[in-house]
Amino acid sequence: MITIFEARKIITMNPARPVVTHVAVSDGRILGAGSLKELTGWGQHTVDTRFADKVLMPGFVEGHCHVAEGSLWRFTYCGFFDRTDPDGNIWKGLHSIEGVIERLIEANAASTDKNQPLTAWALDPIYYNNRRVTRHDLDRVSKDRPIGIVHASGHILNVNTKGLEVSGFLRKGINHPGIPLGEDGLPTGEIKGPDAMTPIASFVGLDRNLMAADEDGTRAFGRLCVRKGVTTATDLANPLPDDGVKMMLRVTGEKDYPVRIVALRVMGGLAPKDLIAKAIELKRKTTDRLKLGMVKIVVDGSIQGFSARIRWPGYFNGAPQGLWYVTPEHLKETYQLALGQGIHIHSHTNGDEATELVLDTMEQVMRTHPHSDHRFTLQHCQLADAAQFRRMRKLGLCVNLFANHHFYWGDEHYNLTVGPERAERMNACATALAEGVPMAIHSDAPVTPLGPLFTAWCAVNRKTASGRIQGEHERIGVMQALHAVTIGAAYTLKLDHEIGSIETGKRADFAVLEDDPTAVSPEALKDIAIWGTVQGGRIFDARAV
Amino acid sequence: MIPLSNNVLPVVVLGGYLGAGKTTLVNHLLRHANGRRIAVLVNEFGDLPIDADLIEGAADGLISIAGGCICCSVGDDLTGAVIDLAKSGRAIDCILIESSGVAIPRSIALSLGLISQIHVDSIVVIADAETLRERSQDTYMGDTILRQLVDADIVILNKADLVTERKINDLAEWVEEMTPQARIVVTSQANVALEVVFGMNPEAPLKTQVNRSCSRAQPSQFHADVPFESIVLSLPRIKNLDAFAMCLADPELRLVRAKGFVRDGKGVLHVMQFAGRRITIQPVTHPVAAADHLVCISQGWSIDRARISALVAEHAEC
Repeated sequence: MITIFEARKIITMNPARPVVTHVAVSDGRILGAGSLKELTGWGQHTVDTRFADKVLMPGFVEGHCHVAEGSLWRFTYCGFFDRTDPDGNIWKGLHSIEGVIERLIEANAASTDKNQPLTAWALDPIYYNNRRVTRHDLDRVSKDRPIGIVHASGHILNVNTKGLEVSGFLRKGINHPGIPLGEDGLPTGEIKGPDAMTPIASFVGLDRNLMAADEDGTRAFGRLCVRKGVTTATDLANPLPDDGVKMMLRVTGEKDYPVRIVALRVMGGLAPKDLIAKAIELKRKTTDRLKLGMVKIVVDGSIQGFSARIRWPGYFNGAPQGLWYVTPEHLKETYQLALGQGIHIHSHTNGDEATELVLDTMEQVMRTHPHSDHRFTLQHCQLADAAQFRRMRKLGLCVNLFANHHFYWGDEHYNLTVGPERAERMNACATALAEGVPMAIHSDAPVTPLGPLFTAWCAVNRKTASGRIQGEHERIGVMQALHAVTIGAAYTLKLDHEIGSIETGKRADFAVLEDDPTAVSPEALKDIAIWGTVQGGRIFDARAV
Repeated sequence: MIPLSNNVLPVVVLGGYLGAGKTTLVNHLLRHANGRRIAVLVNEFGDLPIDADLIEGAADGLISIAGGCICCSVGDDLTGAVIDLAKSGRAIDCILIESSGVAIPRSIALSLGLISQIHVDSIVVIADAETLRERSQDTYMGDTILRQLVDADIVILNKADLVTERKINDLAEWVEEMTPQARIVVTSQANVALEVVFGMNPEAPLKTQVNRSCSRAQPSQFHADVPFESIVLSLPRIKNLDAFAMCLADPELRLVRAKGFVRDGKGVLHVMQFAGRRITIQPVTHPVAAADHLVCISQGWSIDRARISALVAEHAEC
């Protein structure tokens, strides 16, 4: 059964045939891309013209996000920016704390079970002149029901007085840097950092581990992917407990599950040899729609949380040096074992000192464990400079830069965290490409919204939320950005032989766009409407999922 | 160490870099638990550190150890694991957190301090006497290692047998300068008395391990492998418990720990304890067997009995 899809334009990302009008699909794979005349040579077929006025691209590959994005939407969205939920509703951004309170009042009135806590997410007070939200603000929503709002960063929580009371924190004498106290000696209701959040979170409706996907969230995530043109997405920091893997295998294996998930096992508390053994065990369970067997190591913290390890001269505002989350010894042992046994590792490094440690470690390890095609990838790698990109190239490392961060927190980085000069070189896409480092760009959803076209827009324009262009010389071209969200990201996952371009033999994964991203102005890249996707030859209309 | 109240579990946070001897120490403590039911929570990226001969059984990631002790790995969610353990109703007397080589013990202690079912007893940091100075200069890990030391209530300088006495002394002075409030003990093979890590049981002071050292070294110098001694003070009513505790905990007295039941000027019984700089004083309501006693522990060379007696006299309610 051969179907030939006709489109207004097909951007293949295959340089040999960059633009065609037709693509022939059989058994979920691409027979060929070309003209109708060329493709009829494959034999009996039907021509499907439903995309005749659409533009097809390879299905987008989100190289760093979390399936938990799907789970968060059961909570009330309170972000500053408009955001699309898995069902296609666009939630308007809230431009004042007053707006946040109003939305919560609505959510409280609308909820059927008022015995349950009211939970919300994506608050970001930096857009409200850094005016901190307090329990008194949230008490205006309800005094009887625990309320919790997780911030956009995921690292701060605001609760109301009832939330403090039921969790046992409405008391004096608390001594913790993550729990600021008001003049009355009681907590203000802002709870900072995962350590302080844990004992309170469950009382305001938040599971301890938001990063482990659940069934409804996994389904919701799939729907969101369709709306954003994504046909392959990573789940970059899943602890992958046995029952979680079973659930994900079952859900992704369903006939209509629309996206391929690449789930990386986060290092967690495992010893290097146990971690690699776990990865090998997981790898055996891999399917076309749930790729298992890769490993994620978190090396340092975050820049805006001042927990990233950064090199001299340190943080612009004088904040103390950040934190390591792994020792060099464990990092080295894990790399050695992984290279020896063919396990693919992605390493989270936000600060440039963390990046430097990975480079030094790889250099040592490669002497004894040479590997011609390991594609170990630095994730975020936000502060790398040109010299570090040159070393990455030599060591065979790939990079996945956090282009979206630049938009959401670029002003913060300029003014507060790393200062003007380093802020301008953050997420240095142009340098990475100039130095020949294989590159992807990402959203880290739910930290920022899923949407590869938006991510591409960020890398192309380098605008911050305040509208400044920050680091003009690091802007990249539209085709380079589209490469990064398709074949570029596929390469970092060692899936470039299967996905990332539209050419013979690959999976029939397409993003179906209403307009041509190479024809609109680069400013408009993010505004291109998305009809849906084709994944493994299956058609997903965003309006119908 | 006994709980401050019936439902509050004492927790010791054990810190230190890789290779310092955390695992050796944990095994040593479990081997000499002497009736204490210790729960070891391992927050390190590593094998569970328990010697095979101590293990009685293993199920659901939890290792049972002779004498009622247990050990488990807690992955990323230490706070969650401690809450679970405290709520489980399991019969344990104390929790020991073996933190990871990159952990900042003070952060762990502060976070655990938020859990109502437990009480952070102390931060104990163990260091490799042979490599500590060099490690503290490491490009990547130096500042982390120093932060760990600075956080300590008690610093165990381990592997003292691998360095000269002179070097140990220099090292101890260097550590003291960096973290003047901490108490330093010097040892090899992590061979410290259980009471150094977990504190004494003042209910039964006479059963406390007492190794009277026969050869008293110069009190001004640190020495390896000098046994630990306990000293039991019989106390009158104390005018001001806070002031008394502050004086006893003065680093110059070099008392590693103290614990006991003391009456204030009005005769109200309090439990008083300190580990290094960390002092806790709370009224007790339940009956105790050994009221009006304070048990102190230190490494043998440093106990100045005369000065301690003078302090007691000075703070006595007349």
